[in-house]
Amino acid sequence: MTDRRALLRWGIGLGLLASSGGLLRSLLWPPPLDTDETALLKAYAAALLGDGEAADAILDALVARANQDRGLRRTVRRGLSAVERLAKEGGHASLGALAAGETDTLLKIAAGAQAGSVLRIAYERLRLEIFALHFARPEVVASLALPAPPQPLGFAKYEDAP
Amino acid sequence: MTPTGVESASNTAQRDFDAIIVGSGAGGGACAYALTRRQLKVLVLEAGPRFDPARDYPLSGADWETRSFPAPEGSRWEITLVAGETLDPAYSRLRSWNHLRGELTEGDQREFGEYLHVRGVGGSTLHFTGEAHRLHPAAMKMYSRFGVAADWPIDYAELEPYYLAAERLIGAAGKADEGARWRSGPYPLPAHPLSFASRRIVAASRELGWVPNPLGVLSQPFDGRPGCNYCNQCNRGCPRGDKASVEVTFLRQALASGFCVLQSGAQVLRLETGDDERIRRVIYAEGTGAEQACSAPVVMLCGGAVQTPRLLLASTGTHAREGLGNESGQVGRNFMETVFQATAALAREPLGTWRGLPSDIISWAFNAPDGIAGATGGCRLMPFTSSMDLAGPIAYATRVVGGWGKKHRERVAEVFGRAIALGGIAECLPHPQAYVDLDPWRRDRHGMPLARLHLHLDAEAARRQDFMAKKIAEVFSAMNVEAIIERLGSYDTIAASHVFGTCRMGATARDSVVDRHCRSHRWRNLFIVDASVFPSSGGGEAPSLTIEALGLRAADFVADSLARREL
Ligand SMILES: Cc1cc2nc3c(=O)[nH]c(=O)nc-3n(C[C@H](O)[C@H](O)[C@H](O)COP(=O)(O)OP(=O)(O)OC[C@H]3O[C@@H](n4cnc5c(N)ncnc54)[C@H](O)[C@@H]3O)c2cc1C
Ligand code: SF4
Repeated sequence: MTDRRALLRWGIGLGLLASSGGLLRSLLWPPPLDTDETALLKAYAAALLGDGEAADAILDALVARANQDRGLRRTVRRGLSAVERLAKEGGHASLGALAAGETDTLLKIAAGAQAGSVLRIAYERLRLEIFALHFARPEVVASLALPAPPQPLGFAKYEDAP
Repeated sequence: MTPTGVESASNTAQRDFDAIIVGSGAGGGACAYALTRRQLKVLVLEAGPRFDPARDYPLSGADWETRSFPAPEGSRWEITLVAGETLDPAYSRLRSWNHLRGELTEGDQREFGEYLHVRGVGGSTLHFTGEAHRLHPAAMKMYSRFGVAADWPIDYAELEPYYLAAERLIGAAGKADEGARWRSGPYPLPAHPLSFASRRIVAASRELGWVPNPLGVLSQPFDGRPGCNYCNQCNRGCPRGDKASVEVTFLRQALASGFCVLQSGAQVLRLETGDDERIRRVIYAEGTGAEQACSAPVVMLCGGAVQTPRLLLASTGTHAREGLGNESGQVGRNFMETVFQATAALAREPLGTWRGLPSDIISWAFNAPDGIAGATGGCRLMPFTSSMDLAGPIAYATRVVGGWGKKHRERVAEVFGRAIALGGIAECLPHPQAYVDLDPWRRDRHGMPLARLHLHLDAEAARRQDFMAKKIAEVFSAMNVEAIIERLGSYDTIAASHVFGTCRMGATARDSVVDRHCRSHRWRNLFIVDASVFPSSGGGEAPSLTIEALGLRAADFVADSLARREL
C-alpha cells in the first residue's frame, strides 16, 4: 500500500515535471507559426500596407523574421489571436475575411487601444516590422525625395534647397 | 571569440618595446602616435577586432537604414548597470515621448538602451560624430570657481599647444572665432559650408550665436584621405575615412612609422607589480583565450572611463590589495555620464534633413559654467536629426507619420526631409552615488569580473535638461514648426556616449589617481590617458580632442623622461 502510494506520488511528480517542462519549453521556445497563424500575420501586414501594396517577398520576409525571433513570435501570436477574436466578435469568420473598410476599423481599434495592451503592442510592433521591410525596398525609396542611399555618392548639394 | 591580429609596418614583432599601450581609442591612439614620432617602440594591445569599413558600414544599399552601427564579434563590452535614482516627478515633462507612441519609458527608474562604447581598433571614435571640441577654460576650474567637482591640475594654456597639434593631425575643420577658447593658430581646414536646414535654424535664432561646429571631418582632401561627401551617417561608421576616428588618423600614422605593433583581439586581464613601485608585467588574453605576458619600461592604460577602472580594480596583488592605483580609494569614483536632451519637430517646409553633417552648427551661448541661470555647469546646443536617427524613410514611416495604408505612404512621401531635431549636452557633475566597481557575480569568458556602473543624476542635472528643452522649444517656435514629434533625454534614459571620471587627475595622491602628467601617484611607470582622468566633464563639449591632447602631452612627458632615464 505504502509502496503503491509512493509510486503514485512519484508518477504524478514525474507527470507534473514533464508537463511543466513542456510549458517551459513552449514559453522559452515557442513553436514556429502554423499555417493559420501565418495567413493571419500576412493578412494583418497586408492591411497595414493597404491597396495590395504588400509584395509577397515582404510578407514572406516578415513571416521568416517572426519565426526567427522568439519575442516577435510571441507578440504576433498573442496580438493576432486578440485581433482574430475582435474580428469574430464583429461576426466575421476571420481577419482575412474582412472588407477593406472593416479592416480599417479594426486597425483603428488596435491603434487606439490602451498603451501596453496586447492589441496595441502587436499593432506597434507589426507596424514597425512591416514598414521597416517595405521602406527598405529600392523602388519605394526611389519614390521619395531621397535620391539614393547615403553612399557611395553622398549628398553633394546639401547646401541647396531640396 | 574575438579574432586576434598583429599589424606592423615592419618586422617589429619580436623586439623590445619602450611602452605598452592598453586600448587603441582616443587616448591610446594619440599616445601611440606621439611616442612613435619620438622613435620609441610601442606595443598597442586592443581587446576588440579591427573593423572593415567596406563590410561593416554598408551605407550604399537600399536597406542601409535597417543597419545601425555594427557589432562584429567581440566588439562590445558586457557591463552591469545599476540605475540609482528615482525619477523626480517635478520634471516629468522631460519624459521621453513620441507623438504616435506616447511616453517611451515606464516606471520611476531610468531605462538603458545600449552601451554605445566600442571595443575595437579605434575605440569609441569609430562610432562618434566627429565633433572636435576644446574645453571651455573656466570648466577646468569648477572647484575653485564654483565649489563643485574638482579642478584640473593643468589649465587651458598648458593644453592649448596640444589641442592645436591634435587638430592639425586629424584635419579639424572650423572657424577661428570661438570666444573663450583662444587659439595660437588657425584650424588646418576651413569650416564646412552649412546645410540648408542649419541655415534655417540660424536664421530663426540668431540670438543663440550659432557658429560652425568644429569637426574632425575633412572639409577638403587631407593627408591622403578624401573630403566628406555629406552622407549624414557618421554614427553608423564612416566608410570613406574622412571622419577622424583614431584608426585612420593617429593609429595609421603610428603604424606607418614602423615603430608600432598593434595587436587586436588582445584583452589585458591584469597588471602585475614589483617591489619597486613599478608595473612589471602586462597579462593579456589572445582571442583563443591563451594568456600571454609582456613588459616594457612604461605602461599606458587607455581603456576608457569604464574599462580602465575595471582593469585597475581587477589587478589586485600583494602590493595593491584594493586594486592598482587605488591608494586614495578613488579608482572608479566620480563617474560622469552624458546629460542630454533632444527634441524633434516636423517643419512646414522641405528642408532635406537627410543630407549634410549630423551637427554642423553649435551654440556655445550657455556653455560657460555659469551659463545656465539656477544651475552650475553649462551646456551647448546643436542639430541632432541624424543622431536621433530621423534621416531615413523607415524612421518617417514608423516615428513621424501615423496610420497605415495608402494615406500613410502618401504622407511619408509628402513630409520626407522635414523632420528636424535639436539636441543639447550639459555638464555632468560627479556624485558620490555615481561610480564604477566590479560586479561580484558576473564575469567575462576570461574570468574577469564585469564592470558595474552605478548611475546617479541629481536635481541640478534635471534643471540643465529642462533649460535645454526650453531653449530648443524656443527655436522650434521661432521656426514655426508644424508639430513637435519626439523627445528624448537622460531624465529617463541612459545614453552614455560621453563618459568620464573614475581615475581623476589631481594635484595630490589623497584625492586623485594620476598627477598632472597622467602618471599614477604611486606606480611610477604607469600612466592613464583616457576619459577616466577628467576631473570635470565640461559644459557639454565632446571629449575626444581633449583626450587626444592629453595623450600627446603625456607622451611628450614619457619620451622626455625616458630620454633622461628617469623612467
Ligand atoms: C555614439 C557616440 C558619439 C560620440 N560622438 C563624439 C563626438 O562627436 N566627439 C567626441 O569628441 N566624442 C564623441 N563621443 C565620445 C568619444 O567617442 C569617447 O569619449 C572617446 O572615444 C573616449 O576615448 P577613450 O580613449 O577614453 O576610450 P575609447 O575611445 O572607448 O577607447 C578605449 C579602447 O580601449 C580598449 N580596451 C579597454 N579595456 C581594455 C583591455 N582591458 N584590454 C585591451 N583593450 C582594452 C577598448 O576596447 C577601446 O577600443 C561619442 C561616443 C559615442 C558612443
Ligand atoms: S557625413 Fe562625411 S564623415 Fe560622416 S560618414 Fe558621411 S562621409 Fe563620413
